[in-house]
Amino acid sequence: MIEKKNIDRVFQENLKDLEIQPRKRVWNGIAQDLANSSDSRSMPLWRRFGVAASLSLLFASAAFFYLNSIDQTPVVNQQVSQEQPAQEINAEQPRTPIDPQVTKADVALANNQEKVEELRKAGEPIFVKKPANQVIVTTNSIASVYTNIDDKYVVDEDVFLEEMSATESITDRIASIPTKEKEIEFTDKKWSVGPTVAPVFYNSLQSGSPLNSELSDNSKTSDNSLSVGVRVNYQLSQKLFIQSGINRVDLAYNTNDVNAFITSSKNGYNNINTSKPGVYLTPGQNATSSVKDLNRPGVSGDINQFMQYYELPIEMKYSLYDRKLGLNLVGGFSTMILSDNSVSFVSNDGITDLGGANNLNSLNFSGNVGVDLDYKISKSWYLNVAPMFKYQFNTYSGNSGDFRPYYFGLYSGLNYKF
Amino acid sequence: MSLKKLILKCKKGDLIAQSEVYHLFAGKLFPICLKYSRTHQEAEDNLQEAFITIFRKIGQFQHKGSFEGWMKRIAINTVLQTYRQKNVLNLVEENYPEEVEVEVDENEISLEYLLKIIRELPERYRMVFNLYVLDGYSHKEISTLLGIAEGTSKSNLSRARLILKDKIELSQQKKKAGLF
Repeated sequence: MIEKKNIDRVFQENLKDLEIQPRKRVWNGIAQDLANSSDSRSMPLWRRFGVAASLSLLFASAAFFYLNSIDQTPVVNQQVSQEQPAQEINAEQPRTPIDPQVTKADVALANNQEKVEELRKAGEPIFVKKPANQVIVTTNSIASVYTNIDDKYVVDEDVFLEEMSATESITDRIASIPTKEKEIEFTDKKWSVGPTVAPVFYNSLQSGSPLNSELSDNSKTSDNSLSVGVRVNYQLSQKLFIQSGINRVDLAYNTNDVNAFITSSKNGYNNINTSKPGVYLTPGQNATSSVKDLNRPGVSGDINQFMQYYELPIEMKYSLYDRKLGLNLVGGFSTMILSDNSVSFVSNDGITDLGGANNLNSLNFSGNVGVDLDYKISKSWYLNVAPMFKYQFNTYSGNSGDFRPYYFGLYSGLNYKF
Repeated sequence: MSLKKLILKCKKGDLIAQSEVYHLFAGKLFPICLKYSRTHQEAEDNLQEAFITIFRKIGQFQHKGSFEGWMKRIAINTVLQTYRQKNVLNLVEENYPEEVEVEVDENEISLEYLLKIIRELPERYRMVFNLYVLDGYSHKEISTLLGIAEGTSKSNLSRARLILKDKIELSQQKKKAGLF
């Protein structure tokens, strides 16, 4: 029936709630772009390693800054270190775009399923419109044949929705796509274990002496420190790991340029339990005696303090980049149990044991932060190197001056994943 | 899974969630692209571009309004962006009727045909007609979106209506004469 209508209404009424499915190539293009931009958005390898290098440099700079500020010269250790946890290879899985060959909206909507299939195979767009309670399925070509789209391509909306929900969801279909066997193997290995060894540089963030307040301004240098142990790592998620283990940590440093004198007082060392009474320690290098022990006055030398701990770390590791080479951030804390403690006087002529510090706590803690670089040798083995900065808490009781101990270790090792 | 959860996953770049969102809404956004674009191919390109923009900007969606409305605005802006890059010439008509009526037998007219004649409109007319009549923008908003004067928008709309009216009436006459 011909009637006069406002032209705007003609279009508004007919095009309202219109749904038209585009061809599948549209999603393919989108998915491809998203996959590409995801790769390009992720931090480039050189930048990740740049970050790692910057962090390492930051730690090193901080260490040297404090060293210089308290006039100390670091000693270079030559130990190799080890250990860091497993990586997962999920990130290596190609982010293949999902191909929606059969999308929900174009599956078996009409009574005449064969016809729909035929049209779908022809790659024609499918039109869906919802007047009243019905769904119309058609294509460009069919629409021009059936001017009134109300015959065999119409189904009830409830049926339509029911069929849509019964259709296998995209998520299900993705889950059913077999993954490469190699990737599955990598994903399944959540544990890793390996020995760890690290040369350790030990010092204080501030000048001070925990042994004797008179020696606060003397320079301190790290001395042959080492950490060895076993590290266990468990993968919590694709990017997050937790690691623990046990390390024996030998820490030592020298207080340089000390004069030792024999006095009648036993209180010459403030914080050292000793069986050698009468030795008085004072800053300076003016004593010139070459005697082999402290029974004669005026000996110049260094005081060496040695501490041995058993360290139980709990650390979280976050993966920033995970390919053949991996980069991770590490943070956590350690419980440290004191197992040995000694203080010696070192002169050109020999070493004299003075005893042990009496203000060291048997239990202390450290806050740990660092980065971890790993290199995957195979699906079960990987190497890692981790520069770590560890700041100690509750190390000394009572009067320890302003001595704020920390150590910097370069941990490395070979790890096995299982 | 709720739409909110899907959106959250999309914000994290989850490709499967992005696929779900695409397949939920592609059918609704595609008609927008179709009516603003000259060809089917161009419409698909615009739809693709619109979804890429949607997924890149989805982090900015604050769940304060309709997600579908937000996506539609992005789709329209995407098409308009293409339009702006083409630097279409300004065509201004000073005298135009405010309202146009058309003689139509709605049983004889298909949505296919309506879409077709919209897409055949000159670029600017098509944009203005769609924005004003089908997507509810005011002439003031259109003048801002397209960088034209309000008068130009009104003039373009009027010209678009007249062209569409002529085409519909001509089509109906042909059908009556058995030529179609």
